[in-house]
Amino acid sequence: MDYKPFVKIFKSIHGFYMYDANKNEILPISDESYHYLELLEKESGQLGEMIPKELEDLKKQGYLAPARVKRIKHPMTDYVEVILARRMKKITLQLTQNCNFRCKYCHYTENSGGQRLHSQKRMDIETAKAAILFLRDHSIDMDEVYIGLYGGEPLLEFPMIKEIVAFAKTALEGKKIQFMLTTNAALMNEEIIQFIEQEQINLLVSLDGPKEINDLNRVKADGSGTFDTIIEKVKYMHEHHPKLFKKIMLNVVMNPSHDYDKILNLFRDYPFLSKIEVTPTIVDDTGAKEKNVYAEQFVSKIRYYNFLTYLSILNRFPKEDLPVMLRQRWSRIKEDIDEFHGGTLLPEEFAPGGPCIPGENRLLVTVEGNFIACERVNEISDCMIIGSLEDGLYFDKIKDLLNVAKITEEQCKGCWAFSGCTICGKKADENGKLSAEIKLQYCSNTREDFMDKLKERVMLIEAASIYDQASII
Amino acid sequence: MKKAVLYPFSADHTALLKYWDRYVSDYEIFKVVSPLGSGLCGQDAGMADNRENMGIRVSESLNEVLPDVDALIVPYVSREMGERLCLVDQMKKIAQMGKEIICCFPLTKRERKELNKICSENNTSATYAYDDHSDIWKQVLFKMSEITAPVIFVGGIFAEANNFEIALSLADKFKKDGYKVSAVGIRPEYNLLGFHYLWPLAEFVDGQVYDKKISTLIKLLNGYLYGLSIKENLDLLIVDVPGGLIDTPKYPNESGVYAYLLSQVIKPDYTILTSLYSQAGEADFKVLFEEIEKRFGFEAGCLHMSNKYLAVQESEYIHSMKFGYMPIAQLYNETPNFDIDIPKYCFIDENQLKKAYQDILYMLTGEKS
Repeated sequence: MDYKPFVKIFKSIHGFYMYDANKNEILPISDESYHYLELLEKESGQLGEMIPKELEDLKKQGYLAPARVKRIKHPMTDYVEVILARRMKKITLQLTQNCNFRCKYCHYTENSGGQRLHSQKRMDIETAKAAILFLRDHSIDMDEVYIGLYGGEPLLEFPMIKEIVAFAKTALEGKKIQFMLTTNAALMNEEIIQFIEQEQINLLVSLDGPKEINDLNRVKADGSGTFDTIIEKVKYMHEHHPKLFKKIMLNVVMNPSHDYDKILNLFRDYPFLSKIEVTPTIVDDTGAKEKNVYAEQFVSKIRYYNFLTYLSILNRFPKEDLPVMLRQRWSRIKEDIDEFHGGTLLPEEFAPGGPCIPGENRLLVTVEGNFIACERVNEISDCMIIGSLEDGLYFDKIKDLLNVAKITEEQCKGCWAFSGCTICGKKADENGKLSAEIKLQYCSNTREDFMDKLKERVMLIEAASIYDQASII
Repeated sequence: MKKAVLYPFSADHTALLKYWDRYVSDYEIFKVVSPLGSGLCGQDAGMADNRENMGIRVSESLNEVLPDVDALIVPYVSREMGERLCLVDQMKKIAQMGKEIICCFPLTKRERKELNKICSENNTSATYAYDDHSDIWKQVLFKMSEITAPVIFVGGIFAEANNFEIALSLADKFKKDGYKVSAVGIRPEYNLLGFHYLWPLAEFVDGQVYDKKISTLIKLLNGYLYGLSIKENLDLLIVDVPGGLIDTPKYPNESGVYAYLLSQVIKPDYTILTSLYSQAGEADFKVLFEEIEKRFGFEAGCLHMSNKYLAVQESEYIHSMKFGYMPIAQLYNETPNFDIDIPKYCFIDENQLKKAYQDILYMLTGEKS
């Protein structure tokens, strides 16, 4: 009888390893065991008499089990109603669909008809208030809630923002409220800045690099660049409102066709930007006609800076000398360092990692009062519309999104990267429906990413031993 | 009997509301008020921790109910929450109206002095629940004494899960059967209900160690509990053990430190382990019970399953335990069928509480109620 252990083998420059998918654990193995498993993987044989003793011992300890998940069902499926009735954490209010920018990579500037476009539609204040009350009534178990102020460009609706903040403070009395304003900063003036500072609103400002890079994509309606406007406002906050400035998060949307060092020049030219939190992302090309192109100068330099980040984690390179855009990655690696902790076998009924509970952490409320799974998905896609202020939440659709792996059940059940999967409904959306075909297109990259993560972990363990820094692992 | 309003009411105070009238005869909780943002206003108080109706509606405006009451009861809430609600200012304002203040909110010395002053100027009084009038511990500070009264520990496996309610409900049952019983814990409300706020441990939890020595604290706690058992001639002492017993590295709890301390102070005759709502199976619980026995030296007597659950994703994200509440009815059906080899109950359910009481009484005394 075939015995297929649910494992993935891989090598590093110093040794051989096995990732046990059931236990979500990485184990060093001998050369002999590695080759035995390699053969088994290729020929789907049996763990027979020739099994290396090491593997036999591991088997006795519960490793190398052939068990796979039998049915895809997210463990929270039966609790969705309770969680969304009492533990809703955040709503993001789409205050307007209008924007004073026309960024070229923005889906709302141009698309083939599958998404909305910029428009004059704006949220009615009564809709905003109803959304806040909805959050209140669905967050009984939360002592802290988040309200996102989003657009388009939300500052086009500054008077409404003032009204919303005042209303929320009364309606949510007793709760800690965090407001998050996502803005291009172009409309900032002293009055707005003072208000934001006074109300302790968190700011997320986008700037995609130095002028020559930023202005290639981030342009105004007349086609002129936006860099000078944004940097002037950010600089003003730095000079006149240092307390607020420290709370700004800078979102750098990187186009990977550029040289990474050129993007980093932003922080060389404007050193004060290094004082704030920077979140680098890559242009989201999910569903886009034109896919990202990765320049050699982008990829190779990211690899080099990753190398410096590893050295920094191993206390062999000063953290403060890392490029500011690597700081977040540094923290994430430190955070994930004990991720592969081992456990019991995967249960018979389970779901791959990836989806969050739609509506729990980042429900988008559109100008019309529709509920969208989050602000990152296509808001006119039927499968992403999970309710409305009028109708409440559509639990069937929420459960479909939560169990998106159901549409690729057979593939998911046998996938060694089950626990490390990051695919959510967004990557299965095809014209408003969850599509297996579309979702499967992302599997190969997702598995590669997960393998990179495993190798990164192994590399850090090995390097920690070489550098005598075992305590960090 | 004077009428009182309980404010600010939340899930942490359902047990206080449920058992108040069994222990306090001077004040009736006539109204409960929650902050507007709680989402509880206009609903039955049981909604706070998703239990069955408690028969009292949560009001949204403290000002509206004040004319109908004689006193304000402020249950324990954190300083952070108190500051968000301007609780101290509210208490002062209400004292100026001549209402009595019964306060479990941790006041600074200055705030307390100011509140007392306002109360005396307005011919009313403030009761501060943290005050210990027992004066029992000083008698036996320098040696460890054996406490002869049976002792029940109520301890959360990973976190507190209805410990306060279990202590109050069991004490109530034992009292009704004529036993002299007391309960101790780090909630100041224990003092209000005629039990004891275990201030030496509470202050340790808050970061103070007497004489900078743990051994001093152990002797102090032992002296306190021994003195209490003698002074009140106890037939039974219930100890509400703070913190979780088993450590949870991803969202640190107190790693069993307080339970270990208490296990060096006093040996329980019976232990009720309280569990957050869980889908864990027999094998998982078996491992946990064995671990607890090895760490603390006491066996699990029975398991209480709470409807309080750990919000895992958020807890991992912020590295701190956050909770939610499952509908209680679901739990009532599930708990008796839960497959482990020690008795399991949900003490919130009156029928299961009765059964648990019978079993515990029999275990401790060989008698039936």
